Amino acid sequence: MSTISKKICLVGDFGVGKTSLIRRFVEREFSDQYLSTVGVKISRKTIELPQKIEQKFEKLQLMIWDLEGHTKFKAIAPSYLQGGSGAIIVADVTRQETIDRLEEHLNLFLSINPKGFIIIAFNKSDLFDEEKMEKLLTTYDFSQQAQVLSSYATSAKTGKDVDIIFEQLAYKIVFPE
Amino acid sequence: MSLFQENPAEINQLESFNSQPNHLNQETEVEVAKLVNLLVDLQIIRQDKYSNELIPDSSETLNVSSESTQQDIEVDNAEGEKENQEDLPTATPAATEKPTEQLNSPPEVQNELEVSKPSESLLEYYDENVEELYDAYKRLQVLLLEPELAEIQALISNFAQKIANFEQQIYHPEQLINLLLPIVDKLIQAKTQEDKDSIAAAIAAAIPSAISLEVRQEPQKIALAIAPEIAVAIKEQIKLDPATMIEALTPIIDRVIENKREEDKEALIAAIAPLLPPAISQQIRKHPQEIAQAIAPELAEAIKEQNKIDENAISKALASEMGKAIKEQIVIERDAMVDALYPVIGSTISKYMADAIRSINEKIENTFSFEGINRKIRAKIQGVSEAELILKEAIPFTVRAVFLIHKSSGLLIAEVQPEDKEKLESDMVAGMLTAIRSFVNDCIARSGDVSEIDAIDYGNSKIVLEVAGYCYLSVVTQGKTPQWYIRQMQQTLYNIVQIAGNEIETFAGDPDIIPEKVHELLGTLIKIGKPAAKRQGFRLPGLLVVASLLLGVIILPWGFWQYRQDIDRRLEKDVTQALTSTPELAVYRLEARVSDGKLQLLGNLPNQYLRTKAEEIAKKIAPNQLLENKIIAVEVPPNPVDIASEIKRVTSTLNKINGITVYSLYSNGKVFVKGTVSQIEDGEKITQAFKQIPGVKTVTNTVQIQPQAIATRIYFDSGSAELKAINQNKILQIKAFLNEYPNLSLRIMGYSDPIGSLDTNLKLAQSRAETIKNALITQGIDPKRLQALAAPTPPLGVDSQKPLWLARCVEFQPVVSKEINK
Repeated sequence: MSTISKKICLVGDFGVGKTSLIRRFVEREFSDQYLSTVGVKISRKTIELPQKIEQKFEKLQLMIWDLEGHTKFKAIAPSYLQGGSGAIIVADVTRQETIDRLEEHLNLFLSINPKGFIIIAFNKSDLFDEEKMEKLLTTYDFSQQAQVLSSYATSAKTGKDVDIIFEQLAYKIVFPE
Repeated sequence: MSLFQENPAEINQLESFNSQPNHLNQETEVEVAKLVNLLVDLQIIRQDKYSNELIPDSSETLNVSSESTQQDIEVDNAEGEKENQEDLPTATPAATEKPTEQLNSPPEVQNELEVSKPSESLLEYYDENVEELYDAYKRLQVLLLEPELAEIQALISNFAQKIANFEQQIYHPEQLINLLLPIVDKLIQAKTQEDKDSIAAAIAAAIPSAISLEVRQEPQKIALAIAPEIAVAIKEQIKLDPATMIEALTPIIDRVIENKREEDKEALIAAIAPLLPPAISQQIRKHPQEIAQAIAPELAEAIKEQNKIDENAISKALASEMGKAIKEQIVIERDAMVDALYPVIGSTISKYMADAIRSINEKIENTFSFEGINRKIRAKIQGVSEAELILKEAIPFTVRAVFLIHKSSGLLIAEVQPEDKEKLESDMVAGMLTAIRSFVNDCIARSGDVSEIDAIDYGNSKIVLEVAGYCYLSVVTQGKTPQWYIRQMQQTLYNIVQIAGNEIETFAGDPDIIPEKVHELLGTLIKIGKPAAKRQGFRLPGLLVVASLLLGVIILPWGFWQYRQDIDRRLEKDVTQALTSTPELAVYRLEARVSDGKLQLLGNLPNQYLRTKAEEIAKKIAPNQLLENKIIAVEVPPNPVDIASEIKRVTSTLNKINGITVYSLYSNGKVFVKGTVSQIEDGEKITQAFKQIPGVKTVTNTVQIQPQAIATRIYFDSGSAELKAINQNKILQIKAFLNEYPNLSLRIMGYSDPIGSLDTNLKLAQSRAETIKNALITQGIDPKRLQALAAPTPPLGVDSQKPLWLARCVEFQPVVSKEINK
């Protein structure tokens, strides 16, 4: 039994909480402090895969590329997305423009990795009512996109739906069928 | 407890009511009669037969009812005590047993009735109509008692419940406590308002022991109970009296804090924070050693931990103070600082330096070795200093890791790292390197040109990158990476792409699809690190051997020759210097030359003597040297100008001697000398002096002996020949002169001024000379050596323009005694 490595990327506008989501997932920690990511930061997390018949791999090593957020001055460098098996595209529910730009990020990633899988994360959901969140999720529905697995209302602060976005993406990458 | 005791008593009382139906009074009987009537009316019984029969029953009813009232009251009381009590538990079977028993025992009741009223008619009636009676009784019982009994039953069960409840409450005080809880504070408050002090006193006395007991028994509980308020309480108490606080909390503080920490970290931190800095600083002041000891073992760990959490925090916190602190510490105690740093820095540096210096030493020792010459040449070609090259060579070239990385995803395809060294985080390195490559390609090498980042330098290490189509090879090296190694890398990468190009192209994170051969190829890159250094050493000397041999052939004789030259030059210099510093030879130009191992002396000298002398000097300087004296001794024709000037010099020197006054004249090697000397020996000396001058062949000396004049004159008053007292000194001087030159006599010449007749003046002059002669004779001078003479004229040099008194004197002329004797 061996370990397989996969690259996934976190994409989104600046300050939507990409780094915080990774930090919550990898280190089980959260900090309110905002530290802008410069360039790329790479984190690693190994996930135990559920045992299936005729399955080759025991573990999945996720190489998580935390990309510098998109700003109006600087777009996301496409070369960082190369070779990504999946992406978590993140928006900040408290900033409408970050939600509006989800589709743009999605298309960018798919243009480079047409077979990559995507999960949409509406982050900072702890700052929003549940009803509003529901409405938001129905309004911004990306399910017609084949590569989009699903959308989640996440919160790096409370940890809500953080593990699931990474894990669902990871499983889909390893077991695409 | 009292409740418990009361309860059974009440039950007994109840029983006694039941068992004593006889004590009925008249009034009751009337009541019963009424009741019977009523029953008759109702056609339940016949009046004539049962008039007395029902008494006990109704009395029982009555008793029961009165008893139930009592019970009700009691229950009410109980309820008053326990307000808000929740639903009571259902009655226990034991409590319901009694009434049932009573209900099922009619015969007993019968007996009782019999005992109580043994009336004749009734007995007969009994005998006759037992069956009927019983039925009637039964019916009555059912009619009368059933509702009541049920009530009683309910009441009793209720009562039993409450008792059980009480018992339960007593045995399990929690509920009671729960019951009391809501009103306890009210009670205490009320009492406190009434009499604060007594309450305080009562509680105060019990609190410490209660707490300490509880702390001993249930420390965990106490901790839990105090936890939520502790932050506030501590804050307050710290403000008021920190010392007591410490004392009070000591026994349980650890648990309390632990609990609090789990519950509300922030509050605890806030509470402790103000106390910490002064506490620590005080402790440091008081017992710096202890604090140091206490912190020391955790310090490294703590810093490490903090670094993990926030890498920059520590450095930020320390940075501003670090410089100052170190400076200060060095000022205070330099040695301590050195000691503290030594084990870390000292050994690191010394180890490194020792290695580097050893290596450098070797390089320097080999300066003239093949390698050294090679390095010199390389330094020249590369335009760097030789020292730089030596330093580079001092750090040997090693390979720390070899990674094969997927170009687009940055996933690690394969890696090789040496077993003995700490492993690098290959996956992270691969990812970051890929990110860096992307960054450079995107941001720096943008404008169309296909340039690649091929190396990342850091310190003595280097990450060399070699890029292929879908992957790139990254080798972490230390020391200077030789060019041949990069070529080796290129070749390896080429081979890898040949073998596993497809697998690499479609690489998706599964390292197992990469053929084993790729790992083998990568392995050669890491193994090559060391033997390569030797190979490098072998290849280059091939050229060097030839070059060095050639150089050796040239340099060795040249060096020996140069060495010999050096020695010869030094000898020549020494000999020349020795010759010039010899006075007799100084003026002549002499040359010392070493040729064919022989020391040659060259030059011209005026005579054989000086030639021999020069040879002697040269022999003294180089005793073992073969000497060839080529100096020519020539009779140098004297230069008339030189001779004349020499004569002049000698003349002036002679004239400086006392009593000698000479003039000289030179022509054609002949010197004519005339003049005066005071002593006869001087004449001979003068002749010798001139004869020594080279070029002077004959000396004609006509020097005359002339004693010295005595410059002293003794003056007299006008017309007087008397010696003045002040002139006595001069007499003594003249005496000393005569004693000094015993072969001299003295001619004493008397003079007079021109005033008066010549004859008188002559006599006066004569008498003046006689006066001095006598004075000298008085001083013990032989009269034969003295001659008194007089002149009618003023002395030489005193003319009519001079003051008259200058002429009134005596003059002394020393003369050789013979003359006088003649």
